Amino acid sequence: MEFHSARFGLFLAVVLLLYWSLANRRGARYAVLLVASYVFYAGWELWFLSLIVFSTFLDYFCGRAIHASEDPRTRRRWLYASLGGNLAVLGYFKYSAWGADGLASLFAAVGLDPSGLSWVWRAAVPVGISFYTFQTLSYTIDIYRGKLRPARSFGEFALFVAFFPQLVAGPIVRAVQFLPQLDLRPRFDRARLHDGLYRIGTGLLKKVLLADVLGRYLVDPFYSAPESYAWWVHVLALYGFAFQIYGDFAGYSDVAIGAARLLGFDLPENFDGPYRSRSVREFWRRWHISLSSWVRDYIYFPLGGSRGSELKVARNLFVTMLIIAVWHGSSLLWVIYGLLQGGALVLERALERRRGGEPFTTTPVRSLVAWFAAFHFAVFTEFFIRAESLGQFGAVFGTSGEETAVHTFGLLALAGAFATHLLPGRTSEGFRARVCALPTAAVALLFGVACGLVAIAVVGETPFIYFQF
Amino acid sequence: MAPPSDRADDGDAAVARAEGPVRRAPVLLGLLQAFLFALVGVALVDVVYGRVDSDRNLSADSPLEPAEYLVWKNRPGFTNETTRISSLGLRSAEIPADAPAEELRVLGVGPSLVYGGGPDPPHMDRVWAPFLEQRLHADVGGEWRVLNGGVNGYSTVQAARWALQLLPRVEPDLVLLFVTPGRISLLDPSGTRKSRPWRGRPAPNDLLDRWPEPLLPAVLAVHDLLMARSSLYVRHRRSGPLEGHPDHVHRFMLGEHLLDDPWVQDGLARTFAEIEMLAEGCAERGVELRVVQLLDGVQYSSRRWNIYLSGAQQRGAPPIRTKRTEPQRLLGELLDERGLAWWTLQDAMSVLDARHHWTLSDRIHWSADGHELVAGALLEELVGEAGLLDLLRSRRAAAPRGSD
Repeated sequence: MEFHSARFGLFLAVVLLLYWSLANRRGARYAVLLVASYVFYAGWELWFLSLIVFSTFLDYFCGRAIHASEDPRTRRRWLYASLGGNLAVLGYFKYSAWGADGLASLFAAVGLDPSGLSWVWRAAVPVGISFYTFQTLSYTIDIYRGKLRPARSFGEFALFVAFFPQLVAGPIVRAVQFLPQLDLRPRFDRARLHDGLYRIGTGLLKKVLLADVLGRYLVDPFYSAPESYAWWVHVLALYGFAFQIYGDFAGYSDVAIGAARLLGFDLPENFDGPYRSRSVREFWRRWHISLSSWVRDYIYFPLGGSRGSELKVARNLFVTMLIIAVWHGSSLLWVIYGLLQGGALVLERALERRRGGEPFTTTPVRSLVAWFAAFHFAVFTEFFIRAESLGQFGAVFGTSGEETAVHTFGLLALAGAFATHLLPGRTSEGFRARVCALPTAAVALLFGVACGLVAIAVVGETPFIYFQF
Repeated sequence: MAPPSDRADDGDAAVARAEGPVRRAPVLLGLLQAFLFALVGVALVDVVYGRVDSDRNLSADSPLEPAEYLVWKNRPGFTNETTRISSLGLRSAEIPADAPAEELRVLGVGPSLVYGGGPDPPHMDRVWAPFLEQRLHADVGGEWRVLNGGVNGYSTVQAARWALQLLPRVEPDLVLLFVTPGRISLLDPSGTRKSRPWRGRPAPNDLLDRWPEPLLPAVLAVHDLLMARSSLYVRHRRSGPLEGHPDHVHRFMLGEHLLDDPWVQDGLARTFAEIEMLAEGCAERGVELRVVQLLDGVQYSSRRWNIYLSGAQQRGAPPIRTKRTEPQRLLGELLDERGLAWWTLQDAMSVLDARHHWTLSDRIHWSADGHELVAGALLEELVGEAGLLDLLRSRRAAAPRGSD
């Protein structure tokens, strides 16, 4: 059930009606949300539910056992059980195909017939498994660290794991951010309603009118035969994919945040104008914020963070960025992506040290130079996300042809992406504030117009890119 | 180890509990208001889109009407400033009762190109059929009647079925089945396979399969209402996976690249099965059938072709650098394999875009001059095919109409 489908619109309307009708009955309203979340998830594949239920049981009981014990060794054992169980499931479903491919290559390299490996089952990757696994891990780790009490009931914990707005593509919500909201009286007012509609409407427009149009009319045609296109089409396509993946993922996050807001929940922001960043470090504070902050808090800091020798800090940065990269996908391209990001962060840190800790962006010209460099680094490295194989590197960066035909829709979408994304943040924020200050009827009317435009532009099924992660 | 905070004693929660129960009426009213005005917003877009999209509905003021088996057909008796649909559903004058028994009749069936459609359609007297009739009278001699059986939006499956229905009523000597190598013509998104009869009316399979029997009358009533009133709904029923094709063949053009695809295999098999049924029907009645290959709109010029290839790579277009006439070559091979006689208007139509200021009424449909050009090309094929004219004349002379 994609967010940009009429079916999801109907589903959300029914859930909202039931949920708010039962607003004064705590157990019933959360039961509605839990059942709705399982129905939503089962829409992909029924058997995916078994994994999420397994993860829920495992972490619920590990969390309670950690909390109940005073013995550090026992507590650690339960934490390892949670980490081991979750990472084993994630590793198997996400990386077994990669492992099988690697084994087949190894067989072939030593002259053995790789067809003998056909028994290795290449499991389908359940949608959203990386997202909810990280959510449940944060729960047990936070209980272990003493930052959180266990969930009040199994049902409430199950709802935290499966909450449908952000279940399949984030934002990654931590238990400390979500569980306390279950104790609050359900919140609904004019501001929440308007903001929820605005976020859903703009999220759908980002996904369908920006990302899908760029993909269909610029990026996909280019990547089907990059060597045949003129050099400037290469440049446009690289920019195009940068905005496509942004529009796709940020659009999903917006719809998730908006839908949650209509249900009275607040989810963390996931994007903050990432292509306005003036450094790679800043980029990672603005891009997929819920993942980068998760990795920072649960991996980078425990490794030592920015304390210690430069060599140790560099190691921490590389490890952190590699984990972020491999979290997304199991391929050499993702590994290269992670290494490039880690290398850039190390380089930035070294340059900053040479300046004695002084920031580089002290003048408007320097800010512009820094933005230009950071933006183009992001655009360049995102090639490794889009490319189908490393072999495409030469075709994209080393050759060009004479084909110049680019669809007008692709050019319009790219121009629109530049125009909207590079506007100062206060402009878009001001627009949002002005729209949300309108009467409810006007906000809903605009929301309906956005849905209508999306309905025109949607042709067939174009799943969100981030569902595969 | 004691946790630093206890959620049960959280300050916000305490405040919330102190606020008492949620007042549900304002919440539900707010949601209802938002829902209704959102629907108004969607409806506004729908209305505007409906004015822009000319190929969308089958309402009473449309020249089309629903038809079982064909899904839709020309509305007999429909009249406007450019068109008068005959009682047989043809965009031609009525066949007079005293028409000469030995006149030779040519029936052409196919999509809007054949009908003479488009946003600014030429008058029915200035399309390929009357032009061809004039040229036959002038250049070949004898009694001729050329009938325009084109219908807007028709696939080849529909056109072949329509021709089969017309055979006993029109009694043609030659049937021209116009075909393009694109999705609509060859893969039949018309809904002919997506509907089945239900209580005396055709109903979409997906609705029949998905909804319980008691709810079907209401569901189909809503479906009918939306099909008549909502251009957005019609767009999705026609183009989405429900009644159309999946995205990867949405801009399909015949080519080797997709011949293994199940959707394409199924679509082509059905299309050729219908053509073969028509061919059998024609053979039984002693009628000649020619499949006439037209160019798709994106093939009218190299520039259009390249833009199409680059913009539809993930949606069924042949690989970049495929030759513009490759689909016609392949279609010719597929027709040859089945022993179906065919003509191609490829050369005549290749100049349409270059002369678009006078040959095209929009980006796809022909102007009156374009129709005249096509009629000339058809005449060349008809006259140029060895023995065809003599065959038609001798057969009709042996069995004049009304003799049995």
